[in-house]
Amino acid sequence: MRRGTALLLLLIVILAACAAYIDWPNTPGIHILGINHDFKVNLGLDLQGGVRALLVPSNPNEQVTDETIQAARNLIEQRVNGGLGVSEPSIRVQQNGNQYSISVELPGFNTGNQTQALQTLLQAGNLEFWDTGSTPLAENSTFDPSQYTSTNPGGKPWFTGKDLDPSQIGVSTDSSGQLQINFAMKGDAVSKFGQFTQQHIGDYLTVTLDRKVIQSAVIQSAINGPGVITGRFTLQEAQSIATVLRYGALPIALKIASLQTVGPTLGTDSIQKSLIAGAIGLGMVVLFMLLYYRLPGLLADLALALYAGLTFAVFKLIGVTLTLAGIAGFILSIGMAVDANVLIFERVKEELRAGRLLAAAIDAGWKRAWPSIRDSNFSTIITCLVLFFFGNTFGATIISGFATTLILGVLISMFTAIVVTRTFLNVLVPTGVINHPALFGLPAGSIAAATAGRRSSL
Amino acid sequence: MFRLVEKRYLFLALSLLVIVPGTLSLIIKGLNVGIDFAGGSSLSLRPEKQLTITTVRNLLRPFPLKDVQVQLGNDQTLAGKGTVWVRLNTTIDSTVQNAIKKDLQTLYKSTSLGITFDDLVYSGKKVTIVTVTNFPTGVTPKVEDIRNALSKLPNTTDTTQATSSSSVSSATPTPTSGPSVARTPTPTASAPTKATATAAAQATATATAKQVTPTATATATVTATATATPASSSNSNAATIPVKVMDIRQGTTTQTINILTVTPLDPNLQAAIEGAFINQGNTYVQLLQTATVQGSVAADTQRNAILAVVAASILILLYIWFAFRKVPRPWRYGVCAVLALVHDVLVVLGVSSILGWAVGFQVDSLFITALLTVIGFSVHDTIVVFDRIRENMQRRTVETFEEVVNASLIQTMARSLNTSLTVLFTLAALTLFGGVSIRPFTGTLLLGIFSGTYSSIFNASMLLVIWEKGELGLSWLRARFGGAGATAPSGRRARERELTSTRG
Repeated sequence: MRRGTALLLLLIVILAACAAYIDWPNTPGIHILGINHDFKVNLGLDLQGGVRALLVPSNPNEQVTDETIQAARNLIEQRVNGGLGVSEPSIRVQQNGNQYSISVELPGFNTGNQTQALQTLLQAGNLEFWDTGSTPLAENSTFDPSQYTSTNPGGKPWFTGKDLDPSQIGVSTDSSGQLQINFAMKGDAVSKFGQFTQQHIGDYLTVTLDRKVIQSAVIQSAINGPGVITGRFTLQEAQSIATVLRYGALPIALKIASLQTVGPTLGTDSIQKSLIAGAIGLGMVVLFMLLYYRLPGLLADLALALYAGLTFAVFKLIGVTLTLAGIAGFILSIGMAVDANVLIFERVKEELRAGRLLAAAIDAGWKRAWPSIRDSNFSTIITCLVLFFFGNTFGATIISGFATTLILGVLISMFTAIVVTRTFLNVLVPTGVINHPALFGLPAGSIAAATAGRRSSL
Repeated sequence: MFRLVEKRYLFLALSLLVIVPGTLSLIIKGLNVGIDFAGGSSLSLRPEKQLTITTVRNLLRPFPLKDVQVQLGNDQTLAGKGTVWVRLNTTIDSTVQNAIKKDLQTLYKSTSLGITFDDLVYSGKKVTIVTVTNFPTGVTPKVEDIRNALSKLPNTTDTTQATSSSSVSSATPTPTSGPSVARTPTPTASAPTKATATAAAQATATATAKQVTPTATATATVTATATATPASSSNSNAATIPVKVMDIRQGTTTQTINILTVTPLDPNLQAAIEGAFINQGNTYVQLLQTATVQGSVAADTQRNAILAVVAASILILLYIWFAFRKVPRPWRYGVCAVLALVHDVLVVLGVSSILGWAVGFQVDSLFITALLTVIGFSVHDTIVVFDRIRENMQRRTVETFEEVVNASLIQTMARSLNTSLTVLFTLAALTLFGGVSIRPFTGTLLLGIFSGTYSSIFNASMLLVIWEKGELGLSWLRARFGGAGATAPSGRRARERELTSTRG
């Protein structure tokens, strides 16, 4: 066995072991080195249920129009999805007469302190920067602009969340381990913020979120680049505040009018039915590959199993919420993942028929099939990137969610179908045990040619 | 060897046979969109006792509710025993309603009790059911207390007569938005009933209306105050019918039932549903909330999806152009691949549209996912065929373009069919044996993948040949971009000419 092949085989075994550890139904998760990951499967509303919150405008004086409620709805959807678009919430605007409300259903949210987490996620998210002169303000106290009109002209904040650059907002820890939210201004606000901090050195800069103080600190020097907000957050709070800031403030203030846990919309029978159906479908794929391609088919089936294991592990890692349709799509992707193998094996067969030796045929087959695999998968990746970009930019999370899962499937299937199957064959070919073209589903005629050819070359 | 390319017009005609009617249907009828896009109405009920989802589904089955979704919930903030239902022997007028309110408010020393009166058909007779909620904090109502408090109720006038007599005179029914309506439900609510009931409500000025005393909860229940015009004043009925309490039940659960449907839920239908719970399910229900809902797919998602696909198509065209730069006129491959993609989109959209009005096939948010999958698969498949043409163009230098394409098709046939077969196996199994709920999704995929395979074999490459040969009035395109002569030469010279032109 060549060194490269041995290394690849080792890599594949390690990956398979990791995937198995993550996929294991009662996996203990990882809780070392500050990493906490439970590897829980997130099941969708249809399979597992979740919570249903009814949000109503909390400020009766605020004008609620169809546009503002829609905008609020879209923002909430983006916040819930937090970028990848794989959380599968169900968010609907409701109307009764001229009263609007938003029904938010979140899958698998029925553990822990859900009200708290929900409230952070659903807050209006108006971030404001105030100059409070020489007065430091206690964290979590309510900020009253009318008391600070002397340092804040017109009782208006110097800067708001609208001045932040969404792409630069993140959570980090400082040297003492305290959580902080990173931010940077955008456009004109960059220089304005630099000027403002330059002119107000020594003053307290108070940062409020929905008029609640989250930080009140002395301006030490002019801030011309990125800044940080240090408050007393838990990790979850810091992350959801960052998410809220990234997508911007809701156009209207909302409050939770009622909160209920909801059961699955689908009966267990339909889940079981679909899983059985999936098993039948996959069984047919495995059998087909085995019968049609024989030994390579078996190797491809092994690669498929690895594909399924790896993909599921990645889904668990990034928290993809699986709905029944998502599972169907996943099963479908397994059926599609054999494509690269089919392409390669057809080519290998052609080369064998043309009288090449096994090793040479495999080599040539791979080489010939590669442009097809590359171009076809690359075009799918392009599609995914465009869809993801559109979905993310315009807040259509259903589109970005689709793109996320598809691109993962394409990349993993390319790895398993090309690297894994190839490595398996590379391990087996030099041993000579597979030097029988019947194992490749070829007629007896080519057996002699291939074996004789190989012998003579020795 | 099969001469597939020779039959190219047959294959294109087959595609048009599906696409033309489909597109026409799409333009004229559009898609039959489900609740995810179109929205509909939601109804939240609170049952007296715990129900299973199957029971609820069975109770809802007789109603003409389209695309209905049932979700059981649990709201801990609702006091389990804090709801009491009182069934009377008859429908009652406002005098009796006020008497009941007064009795209960005296009993619990609270004016903020939530008391609603629903007129429902019970065992074939229309009766009033009183729902009492919002008891003072810390107070658990007792059935006996309520029975005693309501033991002496005044007689009522015949409210059913008042309703029917006044409905004759009024002919302007208002739909669901009316402030309150008297409800005369039957399990299968019909439009005429609705009209009379609503009209009656207007004429009798809400005397027999569903009335909700102001409650502190944030539910969006229709609220109305009792008005001074009792039903008895509209005709001269005397209050002769004795009112008796037939049944009192106390809630035992914090369960909620959330129903979502495309069908607009007018108060009649709501009342009929509540009636079904009582009559067939032997369970009293309280109306928590009713509202019209907008789609769960944001309004501009569809537009964004289309824009995204257009942008992706352009990039794919450019990529193929680049990847095929070594063959002459590579942009044609890109254009044909995108045309095959458009073919698949039109097939899926068109057939879905036809199935929409023919068999009520409904398009939900998963349809977007299915369509995007089909688009990805279609290009994927086409490129594999094109790649073989690209390879053969460089190897088989003595054949015409048509022959090369034909050979490439035959060579990739095994792969195309095998890949599609594995996918179709999986999909067919999911569609046939899987749950009903994913059938539209897997069915759409099945259709799309089939179309994708067909178009990459029988359309994309055929279009390349047609374009190459300057058929179908494409010669002007050829003259512009291809540079070859527009007049078709013949015989051996033609072959040579073609060889020179196709090999650049």
